Amino acid sequence: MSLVRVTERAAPDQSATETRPDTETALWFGPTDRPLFGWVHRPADDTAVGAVVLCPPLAREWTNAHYAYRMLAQLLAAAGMLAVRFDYDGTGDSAGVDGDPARVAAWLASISAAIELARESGSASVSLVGMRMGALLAAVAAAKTEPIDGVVLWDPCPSPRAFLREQSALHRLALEDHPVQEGVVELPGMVLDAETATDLGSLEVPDSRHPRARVLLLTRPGRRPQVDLAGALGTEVAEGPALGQERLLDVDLAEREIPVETMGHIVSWLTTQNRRPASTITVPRRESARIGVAGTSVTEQAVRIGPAGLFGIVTDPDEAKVSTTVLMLNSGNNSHTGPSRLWVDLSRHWASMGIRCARFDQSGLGDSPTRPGQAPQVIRAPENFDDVEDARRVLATDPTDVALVGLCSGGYQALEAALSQPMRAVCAINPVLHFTPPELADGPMDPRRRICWPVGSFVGAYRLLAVEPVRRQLSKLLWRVAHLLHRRRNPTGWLDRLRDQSVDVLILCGVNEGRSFGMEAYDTLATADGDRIQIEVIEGLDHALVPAWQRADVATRMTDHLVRVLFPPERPTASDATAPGHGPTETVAR
Amino acid sequence: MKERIRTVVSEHARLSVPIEELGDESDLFQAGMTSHASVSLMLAIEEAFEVEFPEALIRRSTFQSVTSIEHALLELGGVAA
Repeated sequence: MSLVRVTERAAPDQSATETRPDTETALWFGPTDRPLFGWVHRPADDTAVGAVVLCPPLAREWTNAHYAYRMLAQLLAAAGMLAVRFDYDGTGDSAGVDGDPARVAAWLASISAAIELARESGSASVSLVGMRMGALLAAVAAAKTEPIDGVVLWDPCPSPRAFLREQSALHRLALEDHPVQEGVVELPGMVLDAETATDLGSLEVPDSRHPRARVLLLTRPGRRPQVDLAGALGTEVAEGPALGQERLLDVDLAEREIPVETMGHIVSWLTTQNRRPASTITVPRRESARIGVAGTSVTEQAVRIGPAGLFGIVTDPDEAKVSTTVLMLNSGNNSHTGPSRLWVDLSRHWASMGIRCARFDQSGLGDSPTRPGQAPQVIRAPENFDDVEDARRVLATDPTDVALVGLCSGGYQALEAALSQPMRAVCAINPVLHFTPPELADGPMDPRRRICWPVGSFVGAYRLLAVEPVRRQLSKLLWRVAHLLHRRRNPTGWLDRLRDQSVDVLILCGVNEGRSFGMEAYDTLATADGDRIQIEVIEGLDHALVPAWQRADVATRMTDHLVRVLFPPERPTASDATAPGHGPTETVAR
Repeated sequence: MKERIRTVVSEHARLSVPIEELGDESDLFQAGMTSHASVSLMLAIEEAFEVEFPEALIRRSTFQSVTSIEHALLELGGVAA
């Protein structure tokens, strides 16, 4: 297996896979009226000794595990197996939303459809791998589906109820003064209605004991399943430790590490189980799908972009009402689905209004390969400038008529791109302008960076002021001095340039983000030119938009902005265009 | 009770400073406890004191300090001191 390399600019212990886009196929499968999205990874010689369906975990654990699943699929393909990874109905890029009814049955049906896809591809045997809730769902699917050759239960939740309790507690404890929504269970990155929560809490694995089923149970110390999952599935059970799960799941996404050792164990075990002769693989091609959205439907297409082969999904309306294309950028290490899947919801909603949208992974992130010499999973890489340029040229109907949307590092990149490339509009949420660019580890800062304030200079000194009242009192003065010393990077200056270039800008940020890069400095400008440059500092806005009501609020504000910018006055007003999952609107604090 | 709480905190809160350097009122989140660690702490407290925190008590302020955890446990009642 020629897979692991680590470069100096990779995060600690992050491993890189050798990317083989030609052996990875993105496709839709399952019901045509409710398509599922997935990937098939196949061996280079188009033969496989068996297939493995990877059942993902749920909610934020899906986000943290996404890259590990991609790596595992690549490892399995390199070991001679066909690997299918997919998004459950209503999650990721599959059709539907998490608030739809009867989610548990839909998720189990998604696994069945993925198994069917593996069989249709020509594999004689199928095994399942599931992590956390994905393990419990895989166990139920395996018990009901025959024949399944092997099941890997990777750090299964002690019970469905324990998962719900732990994740809802995590959601509450991560946020200060978080309003609790009645009638739903909110997890980080997912909202379940009461029916789904009840269904999930009472999920049980039926006792199947298929004679052929073999099980690998990988657990963390003290976190075994409360029921004998493995025993319910088969008679041959191997056990081992689920190494590295804390560093994969129990940390913020930016600090996540890939459990390479455990993944090697899984590949080795599955390789041992699959000793059949290799069969020829033919992957069904279905690269576009019709997705239902609020009484209408849009078309989604999986695409590769530019010489790097970046991955993206284009969402097209039946009839485009504007020439503008909206491009959505990665938020930190999040995949192209955006923060808690917001880019998926917005793409479909805006396309239903007649706006072409595309969400894509910048190089080394999500499902995109790296560029030559680039380390994977590095955010704010200088290569991102090329990524946005390629996406603009390839995906936009008119490359000079593009609106960029981004959060955090994506917000920063959107603003940078708008300064150097022709853009119609930018929506930047919580853009972070002060950070250490990764290229500084082995050279000078990329000259294309015009608005970045490297940490360690004046910004670092400001952040050392630990006493909050002192910060507040001095922040305006300090930022004025900073902007005098660094005129080129002064937000007032570059926002002026954007206005001169006729770029419509919406910046939405929390109080901390606004304060930390001197939002006060351009309040005046915002007031003076509210039509073109709009800045809204929102009290209590979470940096990653974890609360669902904040995502709904931000969706509303961005939809309002786009409608105002893109549609002539006689077009429908924002109040006619209902944003996905509308929630209460927070007071704007200037 | 405080000593038992401090023991559980030291084992599960993943603080960036030794528990001995913190007072009962010290802010555990400021002392390096992440939201993930606070969930681990909550589950460990439940196991150690054989209680289950109701939803209304699952909030940051409950797990802010040793004292706030003690208050929550007393509010739940039936916990041996």
